[in-house]
Amino acid sequence: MGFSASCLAAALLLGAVSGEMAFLTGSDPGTRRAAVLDTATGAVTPVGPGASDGAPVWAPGGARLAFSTKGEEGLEIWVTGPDGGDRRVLRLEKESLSSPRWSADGAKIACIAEGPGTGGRVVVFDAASGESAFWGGEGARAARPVWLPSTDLMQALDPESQSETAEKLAPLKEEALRDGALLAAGIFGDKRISTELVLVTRTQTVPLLPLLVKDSARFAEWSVESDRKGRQIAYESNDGGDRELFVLGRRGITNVSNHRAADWNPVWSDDYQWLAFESFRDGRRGVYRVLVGTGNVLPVAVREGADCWAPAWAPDDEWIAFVSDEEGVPRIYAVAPEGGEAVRLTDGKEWALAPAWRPKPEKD
Amino acid sequence: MTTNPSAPAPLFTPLRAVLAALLFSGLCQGTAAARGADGALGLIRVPNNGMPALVTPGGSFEAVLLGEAELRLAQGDREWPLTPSWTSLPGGRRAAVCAVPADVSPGPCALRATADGVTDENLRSVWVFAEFPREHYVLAHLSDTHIGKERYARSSDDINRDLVAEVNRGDAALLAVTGDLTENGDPEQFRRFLAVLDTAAVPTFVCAGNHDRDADAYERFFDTSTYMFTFGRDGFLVYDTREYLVADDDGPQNGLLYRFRRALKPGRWSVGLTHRHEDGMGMRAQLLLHVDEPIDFLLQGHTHTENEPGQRVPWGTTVQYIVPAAIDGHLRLFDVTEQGVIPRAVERPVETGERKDGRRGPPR
Repeated sequence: MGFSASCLAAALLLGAVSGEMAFLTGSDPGTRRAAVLDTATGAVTPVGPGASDGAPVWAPGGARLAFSTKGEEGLEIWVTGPDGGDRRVLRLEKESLSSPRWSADGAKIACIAEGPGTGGRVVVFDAASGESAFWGGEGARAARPVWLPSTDLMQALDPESQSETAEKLAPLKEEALRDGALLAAGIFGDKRISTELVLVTRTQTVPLLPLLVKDSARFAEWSVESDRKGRQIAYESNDGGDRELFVLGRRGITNVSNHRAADWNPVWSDDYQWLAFESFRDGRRGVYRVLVGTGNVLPVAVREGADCWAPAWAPDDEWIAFVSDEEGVPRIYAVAPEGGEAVRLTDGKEWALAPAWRPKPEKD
Repeated sequence: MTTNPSAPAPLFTPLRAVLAALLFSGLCQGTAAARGADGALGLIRVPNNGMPALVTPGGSFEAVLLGEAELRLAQGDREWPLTPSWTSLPGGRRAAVCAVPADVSPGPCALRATADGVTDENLRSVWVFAEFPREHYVLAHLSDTHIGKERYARSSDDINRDLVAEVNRGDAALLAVTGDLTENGDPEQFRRFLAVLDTAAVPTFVCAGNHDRDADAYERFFDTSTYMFTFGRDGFLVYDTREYLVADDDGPQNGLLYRFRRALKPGRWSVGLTHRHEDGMGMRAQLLLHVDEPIDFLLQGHTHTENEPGQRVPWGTTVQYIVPAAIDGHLRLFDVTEQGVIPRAVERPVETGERKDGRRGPPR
């Protein structure tokens, strides 16, 4: 494509991208700031203090944002509107808080609390009152919690009500129905640690995969994500020799990425048919998508001399945003899921990282 | 200083004393001419005296520059024009693959680049070896030099210069300095650190520590904080754990770590060089370096105390060696052999003088 034709195509595409996106701006991690980008105009609204701010996450419906930031005594969670206003600060004495995630109804925020000698514990805040409670039971350690939107998965795990698995799941289901449940990477061991997928309720932390797979503890799982309905979960594991993506659903567990290079960070599409993810299958870190039902992997953003990472689906799956350092500075781009010409959404010398599209308002 | 009686003859032994003297006298005159007036890097970004190229005559190395230039290799009064092959890098940088003329003598070289009538020079940036060791060599490890931290009667510059002189007197082939190079990242402290570093008669590899995190100061002096190099049959992976949330998961580093780790896999030993390891550091970096493709050894500082005997990172795979702080007069040598990276006893060969606070011994 010639220069002017390319510019014309880019201009047309730029006009086509719309919506707001939360992201991190700043090259220096110590002063990195949470911000909101208007993708149509390029206007950036800072929402965080720029003190090691963590990746921002939207509440369902997109009315609020949550992100970690460095307070006087450690990390705390800021909850703000999309303009940075109406701020509420969640903090716990002698604990550093990180990895916030909203529950499906937006009423709760789960995050990880790390205090002196305690490792990571799941703590759940009531978003309205700010009241908090540690979840998962005594001594449980975990990282990167995500809410399970429904208990459908538990049913999928064991539809037979009389089995041993059902017996183990029954008290969990009861708690999950009452208070909700989380998935997380449980951290086990002391001198020799490992990670394992766990279900976390108010009082229990239960390894998930041993209910289905023998010897699952030999592998280290990470990056668990539930689809919007809570019927399938995607996660990564080094089961198979290198990092692969697996999907657990009604049909059991399936390796959906299966390549000798690493596959990381699965992200569900809104229609929960696809996963976007990062892979090194073409040499550099690139963004790909896989049709979960078939395992068909397609490239989304792959560059010969640069990396692309951190995929994020737009509402209605029209675009996938990602970060690339193809121009030296990591910037955010958007591309149609089927690939093609990417549109650069951020500019300037400052890095732009961790894009998260603002969800559409929920219907009453 | 302890020595290994079974060790083969050290590299450059006949040259070492002369070399150290030449370096000192040459650098007294020449430091300001190299790099910018303030010591910051100019046109030539890589290699530099904190991440030099190691080559044999007739071998090649890659240089990274802000733009194309006429390149020359200089050693003493001699100069060799280079005929690089140029490629583009993201951000407008240019990479030059340069063959080293066969008649360059073993020892340090300066890389010179001239563009638009202006010459930039990186001293001690290319080290020519007659051959690389096959079985055994000695690695010197310093950390936490804290230039600018004046806790003793002797200046931080003098203490660290004496430590480098001690390394010069021994049989080390390489010197690694793993972070907290400066007390607070002040450019003047970096300039003073460079003056100390350039007294070394062996190649010097550095990384950033939490005390070096002032904005982009480290990058101005050493360009990149994540890189790899090989020496003989061994691979070294240098990575950035300087920030409060160590090993940033959102930025480009994880992509580099994966590719570097894969590139180093065929080697004999893989050695990580970084400032610190924390249980709460970026989980992706931990999975990469300690679970999926575990590195064999990790050399670090930060704690100012020595590791416990037999200490490993908590995943149980990687042997962890921590050297107490150079600012307190400490260094450690390692024998790198077919049996592994074997530590000698931590030494405190340098007199620091009385502590200014009147207390005795290094602070804990």
